[in-house]
Amino acid sequence: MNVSEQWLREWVSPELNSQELAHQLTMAGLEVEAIEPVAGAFSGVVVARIVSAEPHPDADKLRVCQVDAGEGTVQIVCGAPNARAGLVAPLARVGAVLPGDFKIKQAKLRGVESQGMLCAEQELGLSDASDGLMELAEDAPVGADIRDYLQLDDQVIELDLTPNRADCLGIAGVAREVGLLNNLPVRQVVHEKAKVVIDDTFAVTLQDPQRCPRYVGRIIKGVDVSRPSPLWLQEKLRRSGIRSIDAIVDITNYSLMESGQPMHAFDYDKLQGGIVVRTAQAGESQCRPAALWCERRRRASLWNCSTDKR
Amino acid sequence: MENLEPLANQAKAAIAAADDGATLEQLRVDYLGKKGQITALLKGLGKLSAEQRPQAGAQINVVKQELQALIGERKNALEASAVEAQLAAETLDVTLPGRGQTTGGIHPVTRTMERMEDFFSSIGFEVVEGPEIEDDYHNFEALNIPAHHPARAMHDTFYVDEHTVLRTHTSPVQVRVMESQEPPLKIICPGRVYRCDSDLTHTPMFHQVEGLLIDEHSSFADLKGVIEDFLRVFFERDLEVRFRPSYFPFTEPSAEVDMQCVNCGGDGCRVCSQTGWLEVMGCGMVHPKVFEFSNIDPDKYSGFAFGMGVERLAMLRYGVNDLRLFFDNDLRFLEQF
Repeated sequence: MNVSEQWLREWVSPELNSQELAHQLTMAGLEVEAIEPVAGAFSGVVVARIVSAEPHPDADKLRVCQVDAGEGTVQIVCGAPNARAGLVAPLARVGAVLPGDFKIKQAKLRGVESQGMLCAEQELGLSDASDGLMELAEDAPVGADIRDYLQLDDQVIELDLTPNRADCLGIAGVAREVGLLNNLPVRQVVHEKAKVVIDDTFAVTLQDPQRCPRYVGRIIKGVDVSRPSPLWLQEKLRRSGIRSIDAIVDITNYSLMESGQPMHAFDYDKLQGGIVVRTAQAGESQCRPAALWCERRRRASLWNCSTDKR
Repeated sequence: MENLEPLANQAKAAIAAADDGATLEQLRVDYLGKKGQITALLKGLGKLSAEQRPQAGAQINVVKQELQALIGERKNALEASAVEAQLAAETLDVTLPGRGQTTGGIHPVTRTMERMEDFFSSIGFEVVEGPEIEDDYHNFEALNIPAHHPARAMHDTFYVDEHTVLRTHTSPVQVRVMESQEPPLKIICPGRVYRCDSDLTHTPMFHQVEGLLIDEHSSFADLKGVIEDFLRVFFERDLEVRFRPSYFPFTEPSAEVDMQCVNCGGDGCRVCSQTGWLEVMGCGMVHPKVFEFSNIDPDKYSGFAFGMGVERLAMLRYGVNDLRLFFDNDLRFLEQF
C-alpha cells in the first residue's frame, strides 16, 4: 500500500515529521518499507502557456514556441509532438535545475534562440516514461512554481502490510490507525446523497447470497470519458501507484484508494441481461463477461458476471 | 661339402637380420635343429671316405659352433633391448612427493545450524526433526491457515499433489510434537524448507530453525529473554534488539525481531537498506487455535514459538553478501569455513 503523506494528512495530521510518522507506523505493525519523494529534486520550473508554436525554419521535428511564463513571453524551441498553441505545460526557465543536477542554460537550437525547456513528466521525475509535454489544466496559474501548484513536496510511504490488515488498504484505514496512535480525531467522510434523476434499473441476481448478501449499483448516464480527470486526482492516483485511465476508471480507483473498498463500473452500452454474482465454476480462471471486466480470480472466489453483447 | 661356406654366410646374414626371438628360434631350428641344414651335412659325413671324414667333420663343427654363438649373442642382444624398452615405458619417478590427504570442512550452513543447536541444547531445548514432504494439514491447516486464508499467499508453496506439499516452514514439526507429546515442551526443529522463489536473497530450498516452548507459565517476557540471549551469544556482541509487531496466523501476538545492523552498528548502510535494523526472525505466543488443533488446553498452557532463517544468520555472521554462494559448491568459498 502506497500512502501519500499529504493525502493522509488531509485525514489526520499528527505533529510528527515523516521519519517519526514512519517509525510510529512500523512499530504499530504497519511496516514502512520505504519513504520516497513523489518527484525528483528540481527547482525553477513554472506553469507556462504556449502562446504560439511555429515550425522551426531549419528542422522538421522542432517547433519555435512563444511561451507566456507569467513575467513576459519567452521563446522556447521544443521537439515534443504535443507542443501547440494554448497548451499549459511546465517550463524550466534559464537557471532551473532538473533532476540529475541538469542545469538549464540559454541555448541556440539549430540557430534559433531558446530560453529554457518545456518539460515532460519524465524530465521532472514524475513518471518513468512519457511521450510528450506534461499537459496541465487550462486554468492553471501561469507563472506559479510547479512544485507549489502540484504540491510536489510530498512523499510516498510504502507500507508492507500483513494479510490481517486489509483494513489499511485505503487512506481512511491508515488514517484511523494514525488517529488512534496519536489520540487525534480523524476526518469523517460526509456522504451527500445524490438526487435520483435516472429511473432506469438493471437486474442484479445474487446466486450465492451466503457469500455475497448485497450488491449495490446505479446507472449513470452522460459521462464524457474524453475529458481527463482533474490533475489533483491524477496526482493522488499516481502517488498511490495507479495510472490515470479515464474519468470513470479514475473515480472508482480513487474511491478504492481512499476507502479500501473495490468498485467496478461497467459500460452500460456493452451489457445485456443483468449482473449475476456467483462463485466460479470449475476450470474458470479468467472471466471476461464485459469488455471492462477482466480479472484473474481464484476458483472459489466470488465472480461478478454479466453477459456481453458481442 | 662345397656348399658349406655359402650356407654359413647365408645363415650369418639371417641371424644378424632377425629382430625378434621367434624368428631367431626358427633360424636355429632351420640350421641346427634335428632336420636342420648343418645337421644334415653332419649326417652326410658317413658317405665320405675315412681320410676326408675328420677334416670335413671339423670344418662343419666350426661352422656349427660359430652359428650357435651368433644365435646366442643375437638372442641376448634382443632380450636386452626388450628389457630396456620395457624399462623406458614403465619409468617411475619414486622421488616425486606423495598425493597426501586433504581435510574436508563443515559447510557454513551446517556450522551455523550446529551453533544454534548448541545454544538451545545448553538451555534445555531438545532437537527434533520431521518430514520434508508434509501434508497440507500439518503445514497449513493445524497452524491456523485454512484453505483460502490470505496468509497462504505469504508462502510460495511447491505442491506434490493436492494434499501434499514440500514443507514451507519447519512449523509442522511443532504440530507433530504437540500431537505426540504432553507439555511441558521445549524443542527446536532445524531443517530444510522449500519455497518457489529464486533471486538474490531467496533460494528454492533453504534452512530454518524453529523453536517452541509450552509450559503453564510461559510469557512474552520469557520469549524476549530467550531471543535476546540467543542473539547475543550467536553474534558474540551486545547488539540492540527490538520486537516489532507483526502477524502470523499461528501466533498471537506476533512480532518480528529486528537486530541492530551488524555491519554499520545502526547508522544505516547498504546491508540494512539504510534503516539501521536487520530483520532476523519471526516469533510470537502460540495461538490458542493451534493448541486446540493438537488437543492442548489453551486455558491451562501457554507457549511461544520462534523461527529463523539459517542462511540469513550465516550471512550476517560471516559477512556473506550473496545467498547463492552457499549452494554453488565453489571450493574457494567453502574452504574459508
